[in-house]
Amino acid sequence: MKITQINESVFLRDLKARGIWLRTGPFQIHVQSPIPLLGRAIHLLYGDFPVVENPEFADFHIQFREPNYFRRFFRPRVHFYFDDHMPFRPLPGDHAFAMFEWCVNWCIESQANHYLMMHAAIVEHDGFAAILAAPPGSGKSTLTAGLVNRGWRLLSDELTLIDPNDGTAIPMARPISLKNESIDVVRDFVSGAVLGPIATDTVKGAVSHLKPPTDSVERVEQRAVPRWVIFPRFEAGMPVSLSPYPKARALLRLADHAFNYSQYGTKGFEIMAELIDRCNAYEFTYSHLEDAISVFESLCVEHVGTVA
Amino acid sequence: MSARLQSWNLIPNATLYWKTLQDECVVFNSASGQTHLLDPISALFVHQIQQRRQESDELFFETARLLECDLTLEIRTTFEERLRKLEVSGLIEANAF
Repeated sequence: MKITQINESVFLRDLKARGIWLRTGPFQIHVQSPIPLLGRAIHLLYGDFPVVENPEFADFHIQFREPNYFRRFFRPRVHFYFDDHMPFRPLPGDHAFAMFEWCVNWCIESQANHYLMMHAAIVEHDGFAAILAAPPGSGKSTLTAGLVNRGWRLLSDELTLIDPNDGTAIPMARPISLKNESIDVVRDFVSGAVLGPIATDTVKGAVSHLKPPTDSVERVEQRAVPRWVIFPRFEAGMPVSLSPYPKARALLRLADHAFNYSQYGTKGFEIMAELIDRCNAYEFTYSHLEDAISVFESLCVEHVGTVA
Repeated sequence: MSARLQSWNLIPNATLYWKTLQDECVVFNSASGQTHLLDPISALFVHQIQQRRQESDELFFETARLLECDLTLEIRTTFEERLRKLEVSGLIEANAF
């Protein structure tokens, strides 16, 4: 059953009582929280995701709680618990959904070492994936939000997961994290954009999340083969530019974005080398989403021409 | 010690895994867990040291031969710099006499 098929008040009640088992790509997450703001945001932004009705297992058991009843009236705070441990300091109450997303990322980054994991967005077209690797603030998520609302499929806007056995990319299709100016840019660009609550004054500034396209969520079991590695950068006023980037350098740069490359040792090098070998690597600069998307469309056309 | 008399080894216990991508090499050193980007000349040096050609002079002559160039003072200086950079990167080390 999809979350959206559950009445919101029933969903909030279940989330508070026994929790819900949320399926996102290969992960099953048991979330429990009495915080209505968080529950409503999950109900809205994860609406197309399935909940597991008779769960036997969860990869992660997480809770988000207020410190006590009275504190909800005075500078509310949210505490995150992972298996009943509290690994992080609490955050302001209105950061609850952003905290949920960061904490799920943290769970995956710190536990899912059966995948090679990179801090990179990944989108797919015709079975082939483009890995978008860039440091925070480079316009990676804005670009991802634009692409997945113009024919590309969202695999992830934060975490690229590679299966070490066959080099395929694993989709998760979770909400896209937008920061500061990009919130309005995407709201204007994406017709009917569904955005979650805006958390202001976070360490990253203002943060809001865009609901992932339904098609991306429904096709979350379909893996993709990486075909492009792109290092995007938003630069105001600059013309769009896509330049080939040496593959050897791309390997090192991508390895810098990987969380567990060194843990994999020689195997990590082999996976990364094979991945880069079958991809084309580029540096990409853009200032307007329309121009950026045109360039990505031409990449696809070029690729179809190559295959034909 | 004069650089021309210097002799070189790979770092002990290092197994190197190579990947050539376009005209550059990437080498993974299993001992350090580090990945290195090597230009063609550095790659030639490491490859030869791996094949037990260890003396600087020998390395320089063979590399110049492979590159089909004369071993001028300028080229020798370039080669010495490359060897020093490889030493700093932890891929090779100078032999103690």
